[in-house]
Amino acid sequence: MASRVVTPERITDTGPRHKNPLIKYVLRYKWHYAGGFAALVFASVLSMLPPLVLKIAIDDLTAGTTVSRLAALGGIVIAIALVESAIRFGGRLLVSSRARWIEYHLRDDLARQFLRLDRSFYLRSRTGDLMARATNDLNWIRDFMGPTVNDIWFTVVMLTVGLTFLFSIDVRLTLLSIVYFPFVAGVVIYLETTLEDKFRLVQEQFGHLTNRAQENVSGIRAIKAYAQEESEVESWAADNRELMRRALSFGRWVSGFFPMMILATGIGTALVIWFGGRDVVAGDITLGQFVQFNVILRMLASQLTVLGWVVSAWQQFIASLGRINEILREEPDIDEPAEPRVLDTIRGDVAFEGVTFEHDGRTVLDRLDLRIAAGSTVAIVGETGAGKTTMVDLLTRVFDPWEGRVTVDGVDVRELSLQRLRDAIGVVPQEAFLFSESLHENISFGRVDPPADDVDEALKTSQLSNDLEQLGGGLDTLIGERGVTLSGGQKQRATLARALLKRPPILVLDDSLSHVDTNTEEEILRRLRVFMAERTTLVIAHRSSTLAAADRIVVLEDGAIAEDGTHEELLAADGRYAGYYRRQLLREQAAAEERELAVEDQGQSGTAAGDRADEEGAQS
Amino acid sequence: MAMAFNEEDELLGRVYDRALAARLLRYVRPYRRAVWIAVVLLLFIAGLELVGPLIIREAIDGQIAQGRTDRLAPLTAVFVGSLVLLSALRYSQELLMVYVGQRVLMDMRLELFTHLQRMSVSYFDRNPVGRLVTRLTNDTAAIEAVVSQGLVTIFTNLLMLVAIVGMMLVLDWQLALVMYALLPPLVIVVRYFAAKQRDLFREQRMWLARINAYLNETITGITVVQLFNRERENLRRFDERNRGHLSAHLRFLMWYAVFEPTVVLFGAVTTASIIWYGGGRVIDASLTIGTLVAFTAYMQRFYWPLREISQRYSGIQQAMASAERIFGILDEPEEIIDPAEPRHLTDVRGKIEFRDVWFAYVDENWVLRDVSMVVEPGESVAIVGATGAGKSTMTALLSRFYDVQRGQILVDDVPIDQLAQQELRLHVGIMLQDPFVYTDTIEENIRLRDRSISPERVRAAAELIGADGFIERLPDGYDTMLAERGANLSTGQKQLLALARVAAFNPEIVLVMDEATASIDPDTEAVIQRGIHEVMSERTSIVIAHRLNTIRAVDRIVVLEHGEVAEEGTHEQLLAREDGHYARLYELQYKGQDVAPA
Repeated sequence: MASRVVTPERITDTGPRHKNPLIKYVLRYKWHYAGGFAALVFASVLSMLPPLVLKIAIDDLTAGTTVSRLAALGGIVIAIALVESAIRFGGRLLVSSRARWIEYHLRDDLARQFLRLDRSFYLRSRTGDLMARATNDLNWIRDFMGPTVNDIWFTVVMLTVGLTFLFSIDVRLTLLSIVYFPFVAGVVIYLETTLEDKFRLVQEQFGHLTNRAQENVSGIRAIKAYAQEESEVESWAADNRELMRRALSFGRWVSGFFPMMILATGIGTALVIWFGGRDVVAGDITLGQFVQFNVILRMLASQLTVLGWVVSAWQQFIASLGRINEILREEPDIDEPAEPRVLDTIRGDVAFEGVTFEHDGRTVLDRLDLRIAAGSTVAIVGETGAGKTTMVDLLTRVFDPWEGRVTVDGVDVRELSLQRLRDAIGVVPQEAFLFSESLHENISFGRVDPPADDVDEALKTSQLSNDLEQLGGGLDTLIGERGVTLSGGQKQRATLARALLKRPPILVLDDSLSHVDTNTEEEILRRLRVFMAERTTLVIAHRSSTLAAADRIVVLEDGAIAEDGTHEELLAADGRYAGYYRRQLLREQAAAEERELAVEDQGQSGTAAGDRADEEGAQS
Repeated sequence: MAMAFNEEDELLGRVYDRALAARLLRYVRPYRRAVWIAVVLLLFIAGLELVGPLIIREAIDGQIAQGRTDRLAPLTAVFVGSLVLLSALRYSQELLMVYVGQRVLMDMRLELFTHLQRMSVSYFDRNPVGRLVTRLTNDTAAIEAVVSQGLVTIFTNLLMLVAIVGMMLVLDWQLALVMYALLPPLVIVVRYFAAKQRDLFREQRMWLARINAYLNETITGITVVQLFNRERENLRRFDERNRGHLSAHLRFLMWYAVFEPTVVLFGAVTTASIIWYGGGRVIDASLTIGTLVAFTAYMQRFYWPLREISQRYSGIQQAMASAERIFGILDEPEEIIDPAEPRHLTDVRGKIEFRDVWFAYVDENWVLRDVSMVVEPGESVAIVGATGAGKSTMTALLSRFYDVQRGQILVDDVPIDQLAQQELRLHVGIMLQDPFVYTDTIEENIRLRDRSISPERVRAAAELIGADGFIERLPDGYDTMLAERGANLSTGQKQLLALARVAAFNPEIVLVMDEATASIDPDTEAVIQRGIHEVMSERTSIVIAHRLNTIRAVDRIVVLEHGEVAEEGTHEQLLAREDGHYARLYELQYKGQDVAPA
C-alpha cells in the first residue's frame, strides 16, 4: 500500500474565488449608480422650487399683482415639474434596473455554483434551504440595492438641500424647527432595536410553530394510533397563544411608530406657526416665506419617516448577503486537475488499487483491489451496504478515495478532466431520475442533438421503442409532473437509453433493471451484449439471468472482495455466491407464481398498487 | 422533505370574490365590537387629519395678515392638542386591528389544525407534508396581514380622500371644483398604471415559479446532471429563465418608475392651478391667502393615500388566493367518521377477530381478500408473508386508519366501526418500525406529551422493556432533547423508545411492527428482543415479524399470501409441511438468522 493518502482537507485549500461578488457588480455598474445619484440631487433641488414659486406668488399677492403674472408663475411650476419628473424617472430607472441586473448576476452565480459543487456539499445541505437562498435572500438584496439605496440617498440629499433652503430663509426659525430632529432619530433607532428584538421573538415562535405543524402532519399515524389528537390540538393552541402574545407585544410597539412620527413632525409645524407667525408680523420674513417654510418642512418630515424601515432593511440585507456569500464561497472537494492528462481514446480498462473509503465514520471500502479488462462484463454482488454503489461513485469521481486510486486505462481518474472522465462512463443509477421534459430531451441528456440512428439504436437496445406508441406523444411525450408518469420499468429503461446514447466505452448498471420484467430484461441483455461487445460493462445486479450472463462475478463483503470468478466456478465452489444465487432463484420463482396469480385475477396493476400502498402503510 | 414549490402557490387570486369575502368576514364577526370601535375611531382620525391646514389658514388670515399675534399661542396649542389626540387615536385604532388580526389568525389556525386531526390517514397519504404545513402557517399569515393592515389602510386612506375632498368643498366650492377637475385624469392614469403593474407582476411571479421549478429539479438531480456533463447546457436553460425573469422585472420597473414622476407632475399642476386660479380670486378679494395656503396643504396630503392604496392591492390578491386554499382543506369531508352513538368497551379482554375482510386502497385492487382470523385474549400471533402481502395493512385496519370495504373487524366481539376511534386506539397500541419522534425530551417522547401519564410511569415503562439503560447514559437522561426526526438516536434506540411508548400507554392489545431494518448492534438487538417479548406478554398481540426469535416465541403463525391467509400453525407445524409457503419463506428470510445466537 504505497499509494498516497488523500484526505478531503487537502483538496479544499484552494481558497475562495471572490471575496464579495456583490462589490464586483456594484463596481461594474458604478456609473449607473453615480448617474442615478446625481439625478436625485438635481431632482431634490428642483423639488424645492415649487415652494419658492408659491412664496413669490403669495408675496406678490400681498403686494398686489396681476392674473397674467400668476399664470406665468403657474407655468413655471409645471415646467419645473416636467423636468423634475423626467430626472426622477431616469434616476430611479438607472438605479433600480441595476439592482435587477445584480439580482440576475447573483442568481446566475448561484446556479453555476450549484452545478459545480459536489455530493459532499449536497449531503450537508437541505434543498429547501438552498432554494430559499436563491429566492428570498436574493429578493432582499435586490430590494436593498434598488429602492432602499435610492431612498437612503434621497433622504440624505433632501435633508441637505431642504435645510439649506430653510437656513437661507431664517436661521433662527430653522434651528427651532429642527431641534427635535435628533430626538426623532434617537426614538427611531431605539424603536428599531426594540422592534428588532420583538420581531425576532415572533419569528422564533413562528419557526417553532412551523416545526410543530411539520411534526404533526408527518407523525399523524403515531398521533392517531395513540389517540393523541386532543393533546396535539391543545399544544398547538398553546403555541399559537404564545405566538399571539409575542405578536401583540411586537404590535404594541410597531403600531406606535407611525403615530409618533405624526406627532414629531407636527410639532415642527406648530413651532413654525408660533415663532414664524411672530417673525412675519415683526417683518423679519414675508408671509410667502412663512408658507414656503411650512411646505418644505412638511416635505422633509415625510422623507424622515423613511428612516424607520431603513435600519431593518439593512439588517435583512446583511443577513441575506451573508447567506448568499456562504454558498458562493464553497469549494467542491472534487477538483479539476490543474493539468489534466489527455487521452484520445479510452479502451475501458478499469482498476481499483488499494482503495479505501470511509463515510460517516464507517469503512465502506477496505483496501479494495480489482482489475477489470476492457471489453469484459463484470457483475458485482453483495448485501446492502457492502460498498457496491460506492465503487461506482469512486469511478465517476462523485467521491474521491481516502486511500489508493481508481484508474481508467491505467490513468488515475483524478488526473483526467471531469468532463473527459464522465464522458467515458455511462451510468444507469439505482434511482431512475428523469427530468420533467420530453422523453427525447431526457434520453439525449448526455448528448445534445444526437443523430437519429443513434437514438433509434439506444431505444431498441433499451427496449423502449415498443412503449413509444403507448405514451401518446412518442419521443415528444412530456415526462414527470406536468406530463406522463412512466412506470418503474419504463423509467429504468429510459435511463438506460440515456446512458447508451452517450456510446461510452464504460457502462455501469447499478441495480438498474430491477423494475423491468424478466422477459424484457433478457432481451435487453441480449442486445447489450452486441452493443457492448468492445466496451466494459460493470453490473450491480441481483437477478439470476443477469448474473449468469456476466463474464465474471465479484462478491463484495464488508468493503472487500470475498469471491471472484466466473458464474460456473463460483457455483462449483459452493461458497457465498452459490448460496446467494440459490436464494435468488427461489425468490424469483415465488415472484413468478405471484405474477401468474395476478394475471388470473386480471389485477396486474392491482398488485403493484397494493405493494406500494402496503409499503407506505408500514411507514410512520 | 424539501420545501414544496407548488406552482399553484404562486398564483394570485381574484381581488374580490363575494362568496370568499363573505366567508372570511365570518371570522371577523366574533370581534365585530372591536372592528366597529376602530371604524368610529377612523372617522375621528380622518376629521383630525383636516385640522392642520385649517389652523394655518386661521393663523394667516386671522392673525399674521392682520399684523396680530395675540391669538397665535392658543392656535398653536389647539394644533398641538389635535396632534396629540390624532396620534393617540391612530395608535389605539392600529392596536385594535392588530388584535383582531391576531385573533382571526389564531381562530383560523386552530380550526384548520383541528380539522386536519380529524382527517383520515388516507388523506395524509394523498397530500404532501409541505403543502399542509404551508396552509397552516403561511397561508393563514397572509390573511392576517390583510385583516390587520391591508383592509384598514385602504379604508383609512379612502376615508381621508373623502374628508379632504369634502373639506375643500366647504372652504371654497369654486376652487374645490377646479381641483376636482384634475382628479379624473389622475385616477385614470393611476388605474392604468396599476393594471399594467398587475399584469407584469403576474408575469414576474410566473418566471420566478419557473426558475424555482428548474432549480429545484437541477438540485434534486444534480448527480445525473454532473455525470452526464450537462452543467453547461443546464446553465444555458437556467439562463433563459433567469433572463425572462429579469426582462419581466425591467418592464415592470418602467411602469413602477413612472408612477412617482406622474404624481410629482400632478402635484405641480395642482399647485399651478391654485396659484393661477386661486391667486386670481385673491386679487378680486373673493378668497383669502390663508384659504389658498390651506388648499396647497390639502393637496400635498392627497397623494399619499392614493399611493398606499395601490401598494396594498397585491397583498389582498395573495390573501384571497390563500383563503381559497385554506377553505379547500376545510371543505374536505371526514372519511372515517365516529358513530353517532358509539358503543363502549369495558374490561377489555383483548379478543380480535377479522371476519371475511376485503380491503383495497384503490378501486378493486384488493390488498386483503376474504381474510378471517381470530386472536383469543392473551394470545400472540405472528403474521408473515412477502412484502406487499398485506401484513401492515391488517394492523392499519385494526387501528381503523382505513375502513374495510367488506366484512368486519371486531374487538371483544364489538365491530370497531361502532366504537369511537379514540377509544379503540387507546386499547390497541402500535409499536411502529421507524417511530415518530418529536423534537422534545425523551420523557415527552415516551408519553407523547400526554400529561395524564406521570413521569414515574414513563420511567417504569422504560425499565420494564429495558430502555432505561441507554436513556440514563444520555447526558440529561429522560430530559435529553431529541433532534429533528430523532437524528441523535440510533435505529435501535428509536425502537426501544417505541417499545417504551407502548409500555407507558399500556394497551390491552398490541401490534408490533418488527420488519427488517438496517444493522443494529448485537447488544441493542438483544435488549430489543427482550423488550418485544415483555411488551407482548400478557397482552393480545399481533406481530409483523422479521426476527426469527420473535416468530418462535408466538403462539401461532399466520402466513399471508396475496392478501389471503395461506397457512396457520406453530413454527414447527408449518416447517414440517413439505413445500409449504412458510417453509419457503423460512428458507428465504429467516434461515440465515438461525445460526445467530439467540
